[in-house]
Amino acid sequence: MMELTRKFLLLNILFIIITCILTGCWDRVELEELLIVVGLAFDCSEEADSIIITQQYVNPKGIGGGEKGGTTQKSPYANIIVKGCNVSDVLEKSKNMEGRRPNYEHLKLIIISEDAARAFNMYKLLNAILRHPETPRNTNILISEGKARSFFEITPNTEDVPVFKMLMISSNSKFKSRIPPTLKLGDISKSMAGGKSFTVQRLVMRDGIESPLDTMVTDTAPGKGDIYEINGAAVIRGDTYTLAGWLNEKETNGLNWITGKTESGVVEIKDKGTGQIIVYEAHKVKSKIIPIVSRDGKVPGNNIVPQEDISFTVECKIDGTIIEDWLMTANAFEEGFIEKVELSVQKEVFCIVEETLNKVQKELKTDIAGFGKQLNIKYPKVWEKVKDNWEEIFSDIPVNIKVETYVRDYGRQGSKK
Amino acid sequence: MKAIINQPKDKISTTQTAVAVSSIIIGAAILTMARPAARIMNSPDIWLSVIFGGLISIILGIILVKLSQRFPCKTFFQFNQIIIGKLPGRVLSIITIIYYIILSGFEIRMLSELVHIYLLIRTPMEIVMITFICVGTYLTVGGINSIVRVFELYLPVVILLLFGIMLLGLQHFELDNLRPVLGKGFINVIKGIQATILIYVGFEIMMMLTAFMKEPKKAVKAVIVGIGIPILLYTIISIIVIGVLTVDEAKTLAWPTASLVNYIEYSGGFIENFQIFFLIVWILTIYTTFVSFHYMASLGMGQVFNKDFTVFTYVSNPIIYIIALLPQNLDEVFKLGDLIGYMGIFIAGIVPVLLFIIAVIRKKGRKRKGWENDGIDT
Repeated sequence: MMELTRKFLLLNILFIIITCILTGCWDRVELEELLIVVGLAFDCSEEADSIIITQQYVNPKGIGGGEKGGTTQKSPYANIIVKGCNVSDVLEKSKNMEGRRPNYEHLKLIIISEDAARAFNMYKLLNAILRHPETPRNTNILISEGKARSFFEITPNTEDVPVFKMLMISSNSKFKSRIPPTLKLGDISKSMAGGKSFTVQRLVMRDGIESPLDTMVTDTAPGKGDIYEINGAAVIRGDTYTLAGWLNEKETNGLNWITGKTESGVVEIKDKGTGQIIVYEAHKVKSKIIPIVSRDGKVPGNNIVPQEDISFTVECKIDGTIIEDWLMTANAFEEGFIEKVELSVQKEVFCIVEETLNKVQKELKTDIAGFGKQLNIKYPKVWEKVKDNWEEIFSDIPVNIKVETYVRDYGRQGSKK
Repeated sequence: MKAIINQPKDKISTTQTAVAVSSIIIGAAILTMARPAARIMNSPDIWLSVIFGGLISIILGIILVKLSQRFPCKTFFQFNQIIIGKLPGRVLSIITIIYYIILSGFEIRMLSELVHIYLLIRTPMEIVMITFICVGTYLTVGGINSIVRVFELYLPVVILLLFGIMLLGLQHFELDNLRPVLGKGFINVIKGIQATILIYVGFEIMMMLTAFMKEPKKAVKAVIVGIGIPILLYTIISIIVIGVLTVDEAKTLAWPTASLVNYIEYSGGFIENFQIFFLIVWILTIYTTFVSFHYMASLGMGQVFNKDFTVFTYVSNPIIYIIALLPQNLDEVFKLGDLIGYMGIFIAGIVPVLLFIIAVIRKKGRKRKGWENDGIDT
């Protein structure tokens, strides 16, 4: 009898404990109650003292197989624009504006406006995002010319949500000329932690939009269509983490050829005699940055390596195709024609690379192509001595350029006659 | 009769011993291992330090196996009394027990921290801790045989999933991030060992496991294989973490390996978030580590006080829970981890070597030759 009561008592205590523990799930997340934020746009206010963040979220009801006609269809996306003195301030405020809880696990794109990138230290600006437990490291980053939030307001023709379209333009950068490699939040965090300068893809409104044909404006909706593009690069300084300047399309190609992180690039050359255009497209780029330290960095009686001792050679080997020519006499079957084209392409590529290096070294004074890394790998001891103000030193270091270009192919047509 | 229960009557095979050693070593360190080493070394040669740290652990492991082999069927808690006398031996045992209890508390805290950050944000940490302690206790009271069987079941899963995740991480791998090799010289690699040796703490469990082995002769083999698996795993993880994240960033991240997993992206696939797999593996590894430390603490108390160890399993639970609650913030958790590491070096490195020397000088225990014809005698 005693035994039974004791068991009963124990059972009761167990039940009480269990009911205390199983009060419900604290972390219950209902899919319908989530606000899935896919894009963030950073702008700064007029006085550049506060941040304006636009969050773009998707509205699942508006996407895909919704029935058209009848009642008005919901827009597949919407933006919340909030101003605040820091990023988490904005993210907190936005919780008071939306009934659903914002969720950043599917954040795909961050656009930072030119002004914000100049006014704010980007490492500080992105700190809240880098700390946030939900944000993925593979969020793409773009820097926009002009207001970043305006790009979120242009409904694309081909996609439902503006962010998804920009994402598609920015991805697969390897096969697109005129843009630097896609930059992810993780990459940016790496570069910034290492104090290295880096390039970001540039988002820009197209100029010269003249006719409806060009903008593909559909019926009455203005601001719709393909009125922006991604080309060129924004250069972020590694020491101040601010925008140093832009690289235009040509210079971006040049940079891609130096780093070898591309499989594309279009070169337009002119035939010597007639001045007609021949277009060459690279389809394989191999390049190497070779650091050279004369005297092995050992200077008697002096601990500091004089920068005259350091130099670099950039070796760039490009394979490509002739994709277009306006020269009526062109004949790829003829001996010597390909060699002639190769030579002129080589000259042109050389010029572009030289121009790029000139701008990067002298004007922007940054090391975005990773020359320092190669020096570090090959001459770690020399690197230890120069790393502290490397970018300053780098701007005066001579770089030899060696370009080899080959025409491997000329498409389906070899000559016109 | 009770004393008999504490005698190691359960027997485990050589493979099981190796599996147990691996399962114990692979633990919380998977997540953070790159950071402390990166902060000390500041160069991408971390993987070299990881290998050397492992080799040192193997040497220490062999020493403590040799020590245990002198005392067949006796655990550390029993044979230390023979070597250095009853009272000092008991003190040493109690220090070791305290170490295991703190270690258990630390594992619990690490688990709840990560679960709090990545999985259950609103769930109170205490609930996670209590649940985990309960689940751990369930296995611990089952004794060494059930523990080792569970380890056998988990280890292949852990290794397979970890390798898989690391392979997926290769998409962002850049060899240049690992270069220059030995850029800061070999001295730097040696310096890094002070951080990397801590990740192997746990192999000292061989001082207890040897007593349970069916064939104690093969204990050296078991310890080499048992530490070898973590060396391989940790080297691969450190190479991929640094190759993907660079040293500069690994220094700045709280959980470098988790960040690496966060990086993985295969768009178009039906899974976008690989973190969940990683966390499953990680919780399994923490579970195995926790259970073995908990068991060792209970067994130690059982043998010191000559009582059934299961009682102590329940008794130590609240202490473990309180220790898990002690650190006030993440920094203190990491500091506790370092402290435990140094205690581990004391218990796994210095103590066995000293005991071994004393045992040889005082001619305690039997030499290896005596194995063939021996029964159990004390």
